[in-house]
Parts: sequence; C-alpha cells; structure tokens
Amino acid sequence: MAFGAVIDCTGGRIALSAWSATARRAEGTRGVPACRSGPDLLFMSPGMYTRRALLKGAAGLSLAAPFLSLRSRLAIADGAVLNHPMIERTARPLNYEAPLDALGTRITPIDRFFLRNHFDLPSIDAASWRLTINGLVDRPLVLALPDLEKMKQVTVEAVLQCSGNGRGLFIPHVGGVQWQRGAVGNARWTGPRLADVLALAVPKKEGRHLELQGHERPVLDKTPRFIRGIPMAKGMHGDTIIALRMNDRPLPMAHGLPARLVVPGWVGDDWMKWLARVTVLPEEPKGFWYETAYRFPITPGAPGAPIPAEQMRPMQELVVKSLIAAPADGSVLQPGRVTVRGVAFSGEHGIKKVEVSVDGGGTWKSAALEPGGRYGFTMFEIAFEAKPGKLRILSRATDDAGAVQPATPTWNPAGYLYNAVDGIDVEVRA
Amino acid sequence: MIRALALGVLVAAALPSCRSEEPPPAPAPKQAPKSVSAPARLPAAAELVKGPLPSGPQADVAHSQCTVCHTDEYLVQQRLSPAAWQKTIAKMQKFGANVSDEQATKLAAWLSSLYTPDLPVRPAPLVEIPAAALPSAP
Repeated sequence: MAFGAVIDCTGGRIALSAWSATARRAEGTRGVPACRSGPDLLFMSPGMYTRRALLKGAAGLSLAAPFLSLRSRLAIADGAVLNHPMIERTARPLNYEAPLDALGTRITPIDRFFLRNHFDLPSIDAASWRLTINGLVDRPLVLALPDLEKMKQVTVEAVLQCSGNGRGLFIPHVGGVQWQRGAVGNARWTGPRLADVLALAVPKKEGRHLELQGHERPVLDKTPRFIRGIPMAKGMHGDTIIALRMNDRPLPMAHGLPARLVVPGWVGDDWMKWLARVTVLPEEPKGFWYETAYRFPITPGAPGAPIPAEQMRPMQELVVKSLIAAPADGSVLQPGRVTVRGVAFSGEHGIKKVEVSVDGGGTWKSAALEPGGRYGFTMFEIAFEAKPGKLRILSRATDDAGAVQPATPTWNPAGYLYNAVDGIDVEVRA
Repeated sequence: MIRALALGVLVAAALPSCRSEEPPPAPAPKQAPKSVSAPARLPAAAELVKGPLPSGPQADVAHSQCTVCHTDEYLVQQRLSPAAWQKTIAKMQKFGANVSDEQATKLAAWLSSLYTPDLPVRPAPLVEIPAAALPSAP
C-alpha cells in the first residue's frame, strides 16, 4: 500500500463538538430536538484544529499503519479516535453516509454501512416481533422469528443503495438528505426466501403486487407510514429473501432487527426494515411513499425542468455505477506506482468492465476485476506510474447488459439514481 | 467507539474522505435569488454554510415544529429556490407540522433568504454510528 504517509495535511480543518454522549443517546429514539443546539456546537472554533496538528499528534499511530488504518486514524482529535468514521447527514432520524474508504473491501463492514431512515427506530425486539402475511391469500398468517429461522436459509450477496445516493451532487440542487457518494454498501444477507414464506399463506392467482410495511412509525399521526411495494414476480424471485442475518450476524437494530426484506438489484426503499406486513394485492399499492415519492421520470427532461406526475414511474432497478475508494479525493501522492481501487455494481446485472482514466478522461484503461456476482460489488484495481502534477482520476463501469456509466448524471426532480462517471482530484509531488 | 462518543468529539469536514464536502467556489447559478444585498450577505454566508440556524422568530417556529420529527440538519443542508422551500414546508404541513399557513409563508421566505441554491455545500461532521443503533438480536 503506497499511500501510507503521503496524505495532504495542509489546508484541512477539523471542528470539534462538545455535543455530549448523553445528548446523542437522548436524541436516539425519542422526540428530543437534540440538533437544536447541534450544528453550532459541531462547528465551533473552525480553523482552530488542523489536520497537520492532528497528524502530528497521531504520528506514532499512523506512520507505520496500512492505508485504510491510517484513514480511520485520521479521524483523531483530542486523543479520541473514531474507529469507524461516518458522515453524519442527520442524527435524527439516523442518516449516516460512508466515507469512500469504507468501500475498500467487497463486503462492507456493518459499522461503516450507511443508514437511511425516514423515522426514528421502532421499539421492537426479536421475541415479540411478528410478521403478518395477508391480502389475497388463502391462509392469512402471523409468523414469529422461530418460524422463519426453521425454514431453509439462503445467502445472497447484494448491494444496498439508497436511491438518493448522490442527490447532493445534482445541479440544480434538489431537496432531501444531501447524500454524496457513500449511501451504498454490499453485504451478505441470509434468511428464508420470500417465495417460501408466501407459499405458506397460499397466494391467490389474482395477486400481482406485494405491499410492504415495517414496524417503524412516524412521530405524527398525519405523517404517512412508510409503505412500499414490489411486483409479485420480483417477490417470488428466488433471490428475494427475508434477511435475518447481515454479514453472518443477526440483523442489527438499525438494519431492521430481526427481519428485513432484501430485494437484490433494486433500490433500497424496497428493502423494508423491521418487516411487519406483506399484503398480496391485485394492483399497485397506494399511498404517498409509492404514488408520489420514489418516482423517476419515464423520459428525463432538462436539468431543473419540472416533470408532470403522470410522467413518473416507481423506481425499481438500480443503474450501473462505479466509485473510487482509493486514493482519497484531494490527497497528495508520492511519485511512482499508484493503485486506483474501487467498487462497481449495477441492478440485476454483473459488471463486465471498469475503465479508469488518470488524465481526466483523455485515455482509458480497463482495470482488473474481482467479480462480486450478479448483485454484489465488483472490485476494480489498476496501477499506474504517477508523475508530479495534478491529476483527475475517473472510473467508468459497463455492466453485462452493455449499460455504461454516463459522463453526466440524469437530473430528476427528487435526485435519485445518480450514476455519473466517478472522479477524484489528486496531486502528485515528491 | 464508546470512548469517542463519551468524549463527545466529532471530527468534521476536510478529511480526504469527505470528498467535495467543501467544494472550491460555489457553483453560483445565475438564477439564484437574492433577497438581501450582496455586501450584507457575503460575510453571513460563511457562517450560514456551517453554522446553526440564525436566531429569530422564524427560527423559533423551526425549532418548535420541524424538530418534532427531525434535527434541523435537514433544514440547514438544503440549497433551495423559494418555490422549492414553499413546496417542502407545505408537504410538512400535510405531514402534520403544526404550522399555520401564515407561519408557513414567513418560514419559507426566511429559509429562502438563507439557504439559497448558490450557498456552498455544507460540510458534514464525521462521527460514529451511535452504539445503540447497532446491537443485534440475541
């Protein structure tokens, strides 16, 4: 790993917060407006702490450390270490984005896996959790966790990505959580097939869609509960599962304990957490989160142009994308051999090719790939000889169906499915 | 992790991993509305980018109503046109925010004067996911 001690230490700025652990805990599940005093504390005394100063303090730790460890240990201030740094978009509800160095491995560790929530975490435990299967079925069911645990367990490696990942990069700006690149991760998900669970309830043949609901609730009664839907065919697909485990451990609370839907290749909004109800319907579900939110233009228009509601369709499949995990954007590298690494994925297709440019798009070379299957991260890596100067490094993925990451994103009113060619700027100097 | 949280230390912005959290100059679209004259606005912009909601009567409404459901991070990271602010607040009224139409109009005008499309992107703090969010089922 060539990047160990050459990260730029100048010009950066660290801000500290005195926001206490108590305050953070207090805002976790209850209606305490902890961030009322948040941002002012988050950014007190800007400029007081520099990364140079931090690195000096951390030099003993970091100089000999491998690149990823150094990156983690960069997040050091006043002797406290962030072992698993995440970008806080909103502390309530829990909306955290992964810094890109978290995507340096094919399987994303749980403590660096992004979180996206509309509401506070539900009060739920594995013992009292129940799943209702109803609607157009011969035998409506209420299942408990042991019922699912004793069924045949299937493991699927699949990318979970918030459909709004990259929203903050769209110009003109659009409203919503301003995710940049890291609202995405890849995990091993294990649990029974949704098809096997549905079979217990014997769906009627008129059933065409599945309405999905979790156990979480909004604070206010007037706020629509989070309800989504997928077509029956996707629900019956052998790779669609009710996950009880994530990366071989029981599903953590923020990821939907004890059971969440895994809809491989499709947007994260369908991966219902704390799964409470699956209802078989003859037609598409109703409600704000399906009929109004999470829709994409059938034919995208000019950036900034409004799209009539009838020209919007529900989002389903993800689109081809690559992200550069290393080097870090803005880093300063020593001349010599530099390795560019990252992840690529598409919806229901594997990755055929990832091309990398180190001259801002003038020339491209295919990177070596470590395939992650149809739904997982394909890792890419390519080395080049870096000469002193400023470089713009780009990555561009092509999937098995021939879809290529575009040079510019497809602007849409809610900022979904950003997948423009990824780019970082680095400086090479001795 | 616990130690980091206990010390309440958050590390923000310009680490290499926070790519373009602090992009160089703002994109500065030409359609950006300015309800305040530029000289008065400029010194405030740097503070707005990373500071809290400025104080005032509308801030009181935001703090008493918006934060019933979410932190005011949701507000201060937006970079919206007046029309988009109005639409967002109208949606929140529908979602149950206890804000009258008159208050909504004032709140939208105030937020539109602050968090404009030309304001640079807000740097987000680096933290750890709260430990309480990650335990597994036994």
